[in-house]
Amino acid sequence: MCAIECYFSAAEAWNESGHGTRFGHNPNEKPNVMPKVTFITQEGKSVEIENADGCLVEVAVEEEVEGIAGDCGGACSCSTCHVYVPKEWMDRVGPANETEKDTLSFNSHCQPNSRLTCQIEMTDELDGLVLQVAPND
Amino acid sequence: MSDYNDPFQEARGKCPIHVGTFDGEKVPMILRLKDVRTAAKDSTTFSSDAPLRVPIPSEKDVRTVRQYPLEVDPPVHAEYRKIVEPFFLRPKQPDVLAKIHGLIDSLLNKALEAGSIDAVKDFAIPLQSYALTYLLNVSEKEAELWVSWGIHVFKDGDGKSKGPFMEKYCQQMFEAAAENPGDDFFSALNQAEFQGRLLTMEEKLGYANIAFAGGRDTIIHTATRIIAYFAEHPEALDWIRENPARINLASEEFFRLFIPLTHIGRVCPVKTDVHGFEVQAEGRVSLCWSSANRDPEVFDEPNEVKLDRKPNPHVAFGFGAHNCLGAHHARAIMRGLIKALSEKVSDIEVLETTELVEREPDYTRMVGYELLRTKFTKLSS
Ligand code: HEM
Ligand code: FES
Repeated sequence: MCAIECYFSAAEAWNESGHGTRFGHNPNEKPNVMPKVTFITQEGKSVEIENADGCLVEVAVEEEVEGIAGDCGGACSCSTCHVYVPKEWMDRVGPANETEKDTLSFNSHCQPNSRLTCQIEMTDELDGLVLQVAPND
Repeated sequence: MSDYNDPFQEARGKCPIHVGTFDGEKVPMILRLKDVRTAAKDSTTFSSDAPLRVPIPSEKDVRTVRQYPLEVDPPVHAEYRKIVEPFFLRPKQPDVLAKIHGLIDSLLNKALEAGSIDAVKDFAIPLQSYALTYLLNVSEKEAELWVSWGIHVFKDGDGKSKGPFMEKYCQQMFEAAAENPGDDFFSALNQAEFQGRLLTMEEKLGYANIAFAGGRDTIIHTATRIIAYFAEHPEALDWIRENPARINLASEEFFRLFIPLTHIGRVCPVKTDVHGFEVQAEGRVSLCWSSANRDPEVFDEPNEVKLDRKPNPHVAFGFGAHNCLGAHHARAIMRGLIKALSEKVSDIEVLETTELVEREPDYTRMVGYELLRTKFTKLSS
């Protein structure tokens, strides 16, 4: 895909997601192709990451987000990449997959809005996403 | 047909347990992933407070000390574990990781220069021994002795356990560290406090015992099986080379399939029904990690190596409170090994092998190699 097409498909996704209206962006503004994600650590520190791309655990580990160890490298085996998704983001982030649900079900800090960041791919639709880092199990 | 046979495949399809006989005792082996994870989380029903009896078969004849923190239950387990955790996290430090990578590079360079090597004796054993000096923060010179302890401290090829020798060595190390304290594992344990008192020599020896014995054959076998895999699949090295970000998931797949530790035990403090089998009070149960890692309910084509398998919720490093403290170390080593092989090696030829097979009355399982004679060919740049 050429850069222009890529830009346009990203822009379409941006518009379809209704970002502009819901989050106070100007819908006519050129969208960020690489979206932003914020992690709130257990200590309440906010870590904003611009240009987040790919699997979210890798994004967090790269930025050394406190509480996201990502020990198993994204295999869904270790549960050290656990976050809580705020209510307003649940629809767009989506529910945990079956394997992830099983792994989470053994985590003593599991809540209905739990996700493992290694099972979430960053997309333009998730621009502005805020995640609360869960306590270590 | 996969090359990676699973001795528990048939039994697991029929029943959640397979009853094995170990040390003259009938032991139900829990076979399915969900059941193994559930049992591993339930330390009240399935206790680790059983000195010398957590490993199956028991290690009564090969060591005298309880292993810490393996053979204690929550809540004291967490206190015991916290004491040594900083050492087990060392492989995450960039300087320690750099030493591990340097070690792998130098061993691999030697292998490339030699006509052929035994990847067990000339590669994996020194790799494990020298890497452990970085974890314990002791002089590399110590590894010269550890190399002579063979593949498994407790059951080496010559049939004689090095267990008593290793215990004596550790006692001397604690005594020497008391005379001349430093930043090493032995000094740290001499100074550590547990519930407001110093650790006893027996406790300290118990920590050292698992660091030396538990982390030995596991690393050696995983490393040699990875080498043997790439010998058979040179295209997999190309695939890694194309995108080194693939290394992490590939390592997890090797841990899942090549887990050298077939299972580990727990003791039921009271009479317990384990999936229809009645375990008497003080009787044992096995958490069969190697079977759980092949559970077809969870792993698609479980006997196949899929280097990009995701999700891959294996239990190669156990599950729950006792999950492997050495996992950071093991991951650092195997990821480093795969990286170095992909960067330096075009081809590995296997010239001769002697497989190491675990033979029990109820199953046999290939766990690694006693000998793996190989020839490495350099990647032309
Ligand atoms: C591929 C390599 C390895 C594998 C497959 C492995 C596997 C395991 C497993 C399955 C457990 C759980 C035991 C249980 O639940 O009772 C465990 C625990 C443990 N392992 Fe490993 N291990 C490996 C490497 C190492 C290394 C290199 C070390 C030390 C240098 C080590 C030290 C320990 C310790 C101390 C525990 C006990 C943790 C606790 O009780 O809290 N392991 N290992
Ligand atoms: S990184 Fe291990 S479960 Fe997500």
